[in-house]
Amino acid sequence: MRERDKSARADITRREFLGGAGAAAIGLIGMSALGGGIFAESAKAAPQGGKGRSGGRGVVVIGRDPKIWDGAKLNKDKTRDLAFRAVRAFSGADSDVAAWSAFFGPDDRVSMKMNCIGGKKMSTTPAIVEAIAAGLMLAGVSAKNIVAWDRTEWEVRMAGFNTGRDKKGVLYTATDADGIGYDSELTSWGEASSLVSRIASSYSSAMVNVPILKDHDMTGISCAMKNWYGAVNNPNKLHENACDPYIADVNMMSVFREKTKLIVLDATTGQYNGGPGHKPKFTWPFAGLIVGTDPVAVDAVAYHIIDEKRKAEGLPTLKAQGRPPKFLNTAADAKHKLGENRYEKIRIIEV
Amino acid sequence: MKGCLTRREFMTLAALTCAAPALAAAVSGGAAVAEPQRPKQSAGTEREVYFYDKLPDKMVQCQICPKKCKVGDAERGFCGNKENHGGKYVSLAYGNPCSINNDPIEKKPLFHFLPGTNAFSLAAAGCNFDCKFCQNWEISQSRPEQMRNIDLPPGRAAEAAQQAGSRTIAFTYSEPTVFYEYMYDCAVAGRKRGLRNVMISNGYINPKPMRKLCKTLDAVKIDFKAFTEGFYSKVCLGHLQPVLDTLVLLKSERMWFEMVYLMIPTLNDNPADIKRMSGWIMKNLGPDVPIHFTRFHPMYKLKNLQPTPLESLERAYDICKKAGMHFVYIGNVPGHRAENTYCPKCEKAVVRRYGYVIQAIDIDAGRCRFCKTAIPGVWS
Repeated sequence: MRERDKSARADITRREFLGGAGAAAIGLIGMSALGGGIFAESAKAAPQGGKGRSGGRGVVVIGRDPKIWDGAKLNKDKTRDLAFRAVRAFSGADSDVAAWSAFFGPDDRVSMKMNCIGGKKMSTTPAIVEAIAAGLMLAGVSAKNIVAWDRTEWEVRMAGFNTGRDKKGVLYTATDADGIGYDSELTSWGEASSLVSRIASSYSSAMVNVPILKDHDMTGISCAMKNWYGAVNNPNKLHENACDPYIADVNMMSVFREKTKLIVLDATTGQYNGGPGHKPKFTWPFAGLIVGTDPVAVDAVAYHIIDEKRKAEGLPTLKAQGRPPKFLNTAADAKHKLGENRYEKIRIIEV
Repeated sequence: MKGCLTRREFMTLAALTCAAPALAAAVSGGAAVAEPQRPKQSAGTEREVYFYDKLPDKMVQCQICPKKCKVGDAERGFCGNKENHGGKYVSLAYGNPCSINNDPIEKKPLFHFLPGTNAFSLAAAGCNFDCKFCQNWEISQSRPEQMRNIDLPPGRAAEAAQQAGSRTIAFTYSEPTVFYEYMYDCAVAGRKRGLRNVMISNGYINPKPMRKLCKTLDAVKIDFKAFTEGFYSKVCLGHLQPVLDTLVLLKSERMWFEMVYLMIPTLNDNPADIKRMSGWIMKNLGPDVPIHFTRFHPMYKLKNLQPTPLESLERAYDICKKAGMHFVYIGNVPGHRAENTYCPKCEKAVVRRYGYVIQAIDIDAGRCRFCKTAIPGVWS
């Protein structure tokens, strides 16, 4: 047996953490430098059966507008208009306020999980994040209760964001920021066991998954479902067998399954080959976004878009190349039931 | 003196290691663990991995362990502590231990290696397995930047070991194979100061790096998980054959090594498997390799199982003794007679132990004090 090392970590239970108001207050010290303590109150999950998931299983909106690209820059106003149009279409509401309010409310503390690994050119973009933040505020969420995050501050900055609070009060941060970190107790489902970012587990009452449209050399695609790998401490342990069943199992963890109220996949730029690292020669301006609440359907649509682009570029499909995203089948199986993986069964609304 | 670790500094280091959870709690509101650290980004503090291949499109393939991870730019391998920086594979664990302790060598456990001495024990975050029963999962399954680490380059590690009165540096707790570069350089630095080096490992390492490492090591302990491929693949996310290959390699290199077998109820306690294993050991390693059957305690992902019944351990002991193995031990059962070392000829106890405490040593110049039979091991 490997000798036990008792020096590295404390065995503080989650209950002790959540129950320790005094300790939580101490935790604010680290965050105060960023403009306010995000752990001021323990998280409460949004009421089940109320807000969220109104678009439902097997429904996806694809919003596209080539005009969002103003040369090499995204036009923020047009990007926001596109995002609002897509969310309105997905919710079926007749106004932006009603659309965003279908998923979020004034009592929520909402975090947006970005994907910032690929640097400025292949990460979640500030234009999309600011558009979502504007939508959340329309639903009555206070700016100071909105957080945009990824796993490290360094990556967040490399993707083009300034860490800290912006002028409106939205906080840009990461799990590795002072005073945040991961849970001390494992969260497990199926074959996956991880420590979850406290932004997801302790801070957020609701979350927006804001991934990107990207090829992945092992899993075929790295889009909505795989984005949660950036919210756990051990993604390196979850890549065996093309991440299957690990991606599906991580998405089954209640913290992600229940708190994620909306997926807004940033497809302003797509990468159809050579991922997950940024390969400029394989990117193209898709000039769009994909909205849904069914993570399997969103990824199935993203898979279709990437494969169509590959065909157009004379590349073999992901399946022909031996790397279809098989995690989609697992995610849709009877054990997981996370959503619809059959592209032909997905209702796609284009705006 | 510049660069010299004073006794006070060493004590501070040790205290820091022990106090890390409390410090983290104070800073982060009792959230647990080590205050997260940003990964090192400067090339000066990272070390290029010693065994890897460069592939097209800035891909790399690690050659340290049998997983041979192919890693894309900006990605990490399975171990989580090596990262591809634009086609250069670097260790993020180098000079970056997360745990330092001065342990009895019996804790490793190494029973035939300088009994009664201490080992300056180092670990960095990461592992190439994900054993569901890991006793140190908090560090083995984490990434370096998720731990509170200590800046301790190899030279200072060796100096600290010497100042602590340790005779040995032990690379342990997590899996030293995955902080190979740091281990190797610490071992070289330790040798220069007259220290011994021991590796506490799962044995999941490729032959080339293992052979190179053998030139700097004095003993190895292999955590032998089970004698079935199914256990290795399902419970540990590894494979059996490379570990068997490592054991044979250690034998061929004349390295002193001992084996530990953590016996987990219902998963690896089948007597038929133990019998097959003892036959394999006798045939390939010989009767003098010590094996320690240790008691499992519910941990990590296997909290649902009971601690190992003593009968299971004693049954395994009997099977191996019957097969002709000379040095069979039972661990994590303080006071059990199978904690002692017995002379294989006169059968008298030549090292008496209680837990990690040595009660008596009756070995002179590597021989039984009673019948003068040579007792294999490293005794001085």
